[in-house]
Amino acid sequence: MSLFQILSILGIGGCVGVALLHYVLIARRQPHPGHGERRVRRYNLWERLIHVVLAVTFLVLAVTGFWASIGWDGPMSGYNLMIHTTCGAVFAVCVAVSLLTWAADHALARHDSRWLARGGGFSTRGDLPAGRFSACDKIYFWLAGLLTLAALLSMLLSMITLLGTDGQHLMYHVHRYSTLVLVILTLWHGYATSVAKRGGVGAILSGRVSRSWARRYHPLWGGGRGEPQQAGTQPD
Amino acid sequence: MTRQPTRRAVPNRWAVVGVGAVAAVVFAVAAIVIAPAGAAEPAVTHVTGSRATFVHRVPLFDSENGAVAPDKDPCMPFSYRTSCTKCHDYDQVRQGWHFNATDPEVDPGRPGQPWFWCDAKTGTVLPLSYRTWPNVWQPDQVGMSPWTFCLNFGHHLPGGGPGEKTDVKDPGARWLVAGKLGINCGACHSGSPAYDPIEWYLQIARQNFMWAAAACTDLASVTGAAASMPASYDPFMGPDDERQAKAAPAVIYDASRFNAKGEVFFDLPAQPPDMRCYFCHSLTEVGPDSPEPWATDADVHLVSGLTCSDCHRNGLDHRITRNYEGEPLGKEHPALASLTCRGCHLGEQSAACGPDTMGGRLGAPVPEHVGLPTIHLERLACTTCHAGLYPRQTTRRIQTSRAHLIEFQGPHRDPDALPRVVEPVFVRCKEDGTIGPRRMVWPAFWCRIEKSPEAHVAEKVTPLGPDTVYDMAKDAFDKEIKAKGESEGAAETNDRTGLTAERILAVLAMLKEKDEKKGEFAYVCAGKLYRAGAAGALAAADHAAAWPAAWPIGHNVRPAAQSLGTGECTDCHGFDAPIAFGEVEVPSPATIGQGVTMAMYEFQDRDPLELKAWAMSYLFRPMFKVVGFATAGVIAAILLLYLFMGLAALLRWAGTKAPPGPA
Repeated sequence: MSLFQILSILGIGGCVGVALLHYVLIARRQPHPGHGERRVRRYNLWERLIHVVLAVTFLVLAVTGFWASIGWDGPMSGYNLMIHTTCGAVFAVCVAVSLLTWAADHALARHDSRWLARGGGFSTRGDLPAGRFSACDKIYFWLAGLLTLAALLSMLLSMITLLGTDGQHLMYHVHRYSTLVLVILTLWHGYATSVAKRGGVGAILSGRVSRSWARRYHPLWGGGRGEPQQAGTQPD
Repeated sequence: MTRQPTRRAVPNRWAVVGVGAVAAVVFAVAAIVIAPAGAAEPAVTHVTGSRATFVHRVPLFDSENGAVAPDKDPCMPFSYRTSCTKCHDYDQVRQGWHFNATDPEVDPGRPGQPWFWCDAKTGTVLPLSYRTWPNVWQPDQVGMSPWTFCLNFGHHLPGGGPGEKTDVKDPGARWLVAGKLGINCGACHSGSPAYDPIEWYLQIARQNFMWAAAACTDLASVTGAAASMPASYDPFMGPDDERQAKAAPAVIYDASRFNAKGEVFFDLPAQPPDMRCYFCHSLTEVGPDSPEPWATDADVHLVSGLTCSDCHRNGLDHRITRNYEGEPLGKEHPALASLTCRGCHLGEQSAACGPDTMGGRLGAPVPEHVGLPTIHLERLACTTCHAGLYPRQTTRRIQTSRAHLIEFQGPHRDPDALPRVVEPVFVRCKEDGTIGPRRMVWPAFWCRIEKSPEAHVAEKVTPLGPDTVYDMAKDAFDKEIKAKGESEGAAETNDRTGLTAERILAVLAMLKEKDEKKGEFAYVCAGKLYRAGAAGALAAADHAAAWPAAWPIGHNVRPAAQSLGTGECTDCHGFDAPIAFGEVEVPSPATIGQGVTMAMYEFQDRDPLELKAWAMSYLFRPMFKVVGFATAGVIAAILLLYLFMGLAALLRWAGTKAPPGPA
């Protein structure tokens, strides 16, 4: 078993394990923020479309990529590779679009440091300061952009007549390890925003959340950038 | 005076028995200890370790270890076995790759070029080898004894191996008349420009096995032919009469070459010159579009100044390295990994045998393989891109030294001569899954079919040698047969063999008729097994016995600039890329099976639809790269923008922490 296989299994397995522990010890015991109340729009149609396409292509990329990497620790080929590269192109474009769409909302603000200092998602208190996106979301957002750039460039550079065998090896490893970290982060992101944060799945599918959900998880959402304001005041 | 009878001392009976027993034991021990020492000289291992060439000014001995002198009568040919073994243990030498094919204990390794028993009249192309390679037959499986093997293939044997297997029962063998075909050291080691390997061929044809090695040198001339001598002829006794003396093989030495001590100078460098290797290991492209030999290049390694033996090395045991990955000899000598393509050019980290395994051995350039994803180095043999004829849409025919005697002029040099070797065929290796180029020959032979004792094999096929088939079905081969649809009296001349479906049916019927067991017979050609069908027509079927003999291409290696893929990725990934969609010719010596081809991907277990889809992706690849780099640019720009914005915010915040100063 190669180092990459070991790290993949440890990384992905560890992430799933921590998420399970978190769910059992923390998330499950949190009170449900409630639903059925008057709901506010969290994501517009454009944002939801990008998010869904990102999620689907990411899933395909992860399965096709790690199926080969963990399954037989060899490079991909055939239909698997064709699907992977096609989805990779769509995914990369979607990441660029999502950066353009959400970059402003993910700019780090002063209250983010307080969110982190209070333990963030591991805190059982309900008064964590977060705007439209929490500090965890923001960190993931920027890291995901950075890792996608690494994964994209590593493949593009290996497709042009620039790098020799050593460079190709380096690019291959950059691609593998950057995507491994991206997969681990995305697994956590998926868990944290959909399972740990009850009602998160509905938010991304319908684009709407309840006011109490917004007040609980994003109490500063609705004000100016980084400017605290009572949640739920954004018009429908 | 009377003489007193003296009493004779009568020895004690038991004392006599005791002395006798002791003497017997002493003689027996002496016989055991002394006799072998006297019978055979102690083996000498002569390895100096110096790179200087040893000057071989040596006395010569005949095969019975008698000293050779030009004025001796009868004058016998010298033997390398007895002459060289004084310094080089012959029994070690005969372990070498060129001589050990008949030893069943030797690992056959990856397939090499087999010998081909060909006969145009019967349409026979039988791949033979004493090594157990796939899709080749052992000579004894087709009724070929070592004697017959030497007569058929001795022209390019370096002696030894079957040439010394005189103990195999064969009523037709004439070893006592012809002598053994011992190892001909000069075949590889002679550095003399006067050494003539063509003489070897001529002497083998005359059955002058014992004289062949001497005849090749400029030291001796050989006349006569053992083939014309009776089976009772003993070359050591000499001819019985004048008539025999004229025909008997005889050797005449150049007396001026012997010095006062009776020694002769032999130019025998330790490293064989390339010209000696080329005599058996040359090939040439044939066919309508083939270039003239002068227009082709030699292997790039040789052109660059290396010699064959720089890479293909051996010790006294002559187990020459074949230099492919996974070579059995590598188990004993791990450093051999540094003499493969990969080991020499890229280094072999796994071997960890010192500086030799670091790559760049013998000044080998380390290839950059710019723009080549590393998967290619894992899934392809180096030779796929770098060796053999540059692939075109259809495989081409080549002729080789051992199969076609390309060193000789004559009618056998027809481009359609059997066997018809095609290359390059890109085949997936079952052992490691890599794709590599092969030379390929499709077998054609008559065979007996029996039910196989093995459950997983439907029918057992036993090939018949061309002589056997012709003897059994001479009339069917020779009689004039009209092809269907031809006018009365018109003989079919479709192919040189005249093996039409009608003739094949006639031969099959005659074979069955002449066979004592009245068994079933078939003819294999063009990748199929043909037998007489129920409706009186030939019925074709697939059978493992019809699969081609194939062996990897190692040489000629082309220069890097002429490698596959130096043009475009579509050299291999295009819609019509020869490596995947090229046509492999399936030649047939009969009129049936003419024009049959197979697609290259069929030898690689690859899905043509997948290959086409992958090729299609290359249409969009330029656009893919443009979009990819543009996307990467956008992502990078946003990341940088916000990084700078963050830094600016950080600096502003740091500014607020500075001491405000006096109000």
